[in-house]
Amino acid sequence: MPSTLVVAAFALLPVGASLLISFTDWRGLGQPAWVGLANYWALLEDARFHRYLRQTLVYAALAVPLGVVLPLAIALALRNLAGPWSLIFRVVFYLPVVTGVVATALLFQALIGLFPFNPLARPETVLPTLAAFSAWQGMGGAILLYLAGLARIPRELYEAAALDGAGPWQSFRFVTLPQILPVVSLVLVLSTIAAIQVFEVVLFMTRGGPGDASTTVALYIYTNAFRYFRSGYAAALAWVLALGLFLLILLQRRLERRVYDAEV
Amino acid sequence: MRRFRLYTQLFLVALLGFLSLFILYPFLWMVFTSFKPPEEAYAWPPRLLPQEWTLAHYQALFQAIPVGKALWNSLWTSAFLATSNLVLASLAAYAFTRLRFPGRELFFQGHVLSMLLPWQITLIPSFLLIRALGLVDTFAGYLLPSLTSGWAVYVLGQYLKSFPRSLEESVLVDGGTPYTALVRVVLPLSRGALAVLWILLFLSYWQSFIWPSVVLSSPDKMVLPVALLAVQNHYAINIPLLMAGTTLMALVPVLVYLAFQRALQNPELFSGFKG
Repeated sequence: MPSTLVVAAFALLPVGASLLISFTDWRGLGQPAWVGLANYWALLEDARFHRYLRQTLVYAALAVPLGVVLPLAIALALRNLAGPWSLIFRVVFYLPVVTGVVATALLFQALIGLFPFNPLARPETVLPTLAAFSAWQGMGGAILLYLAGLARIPRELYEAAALDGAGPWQSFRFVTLPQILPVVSLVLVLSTIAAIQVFEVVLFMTRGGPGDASTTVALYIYTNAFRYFRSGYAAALAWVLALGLFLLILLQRRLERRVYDAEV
Repeated sequence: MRRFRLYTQLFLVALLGFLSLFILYPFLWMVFTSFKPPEEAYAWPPRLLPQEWTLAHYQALFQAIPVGKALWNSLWTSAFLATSNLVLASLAAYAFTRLRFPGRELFFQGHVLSMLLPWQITLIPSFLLIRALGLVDTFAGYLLPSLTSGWAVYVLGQYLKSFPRSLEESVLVDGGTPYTALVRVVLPLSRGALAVLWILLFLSYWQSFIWPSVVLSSPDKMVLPVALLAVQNHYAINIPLLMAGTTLMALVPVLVYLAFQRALQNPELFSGFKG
């Protein structure tokens, strides 16, 4: 089957290959030499990697909550809105998603550059600015998921709550919130994955700067692989990032289950 | 739910309208700035509308940098990949949902797994493989790994699972092969779903940056996002020129989206699996 061949050759085979490469000192040319875990030991001592990892986590800690909560608030507002307005706003909030990261990042970089104070040019403000931009850019996708989730909540639940004398806040707290939690957790996972691997936003808005104040791990991997041609080291970094991401999501699931049990 | 209460409605419209400004203003600023003469483009506070309209930046964009070429490259490669994804993925998805063969579950899980892999892991070996095939800096090298995707197979598989089998059975009873059932019955009846999927695939390949930036290096083979990065490198301070480029880049997806807005409002397809 042609599809299986392509997927196997360019997605599954590379997984094995990249693991093998991460145990070599390959620089993309010549004979790779087996170096065992040397790349992974080097990574433990690489002060730049540690700084970029911290910066990635700071970025994610800002971008993920924004990307989860803000769209939920907007979706709730849209849900309570009548006919044509709801449609118009939905189209507007979706515009940055269809336009894509590249064009919107270039646009904001230029617009922010006009400001008398440029938050992208200062090390203290650059990560929050990038996180706010990402939340702005990706909002539409999460709003759509939340709206679909809200539409699935059975009307009878609200009627029953109203009969029991629940006000708007109580019907949100005891009907909407528990019913929408699975969608919240989906959005949480998707935005965590996106935030930990953030790349284009950084490249197009700051090139990792000022200095390297906004360089993230994904950008460092890309630079190592295609600027310094340190394939082995870049592959090791990629594996550490992927495993870290996997563990982070497992941890989130754990915590969620606890919240969920407390809730229901 | 308190629907259609007048004050609530007014309040919500005002609130969302205010938030929409943060989206609409940057977009309008981008479009108008691309028509402003330089002395207007850098004014602070920025004025939205140009006082004097000029097409100079679009001319410069097409003359100085091969942006016209990049626009064309992006158009045909995205259309090509969307089409090849549709053809290969519908064959694969049909086989996965209708035929029994050894390893079916394993192969299908392989497709699902492939869409969850972070690009950092697959990028380097894919590049080395393309280089070993001698395809670096060729369109074949860009297109080959993306001819199909786990995402397209998965989405079509989910769709076919809910497609009524009884329609195909008449073909099979008449001695047709599963292939004729697919081509004569399933695909023609799924035109709407396939069109939506084609548009989504086109839009996602229109955005693709990382892989083409790695594989295609010569200026005449750049796709639009890669060309815009080059424009930003060379003309970082030329804001109106840059905005002419981003306006071009945004124009295609926004027009497509507005034209097919209703059909595309399907959250199952939009759930962000595609990177």
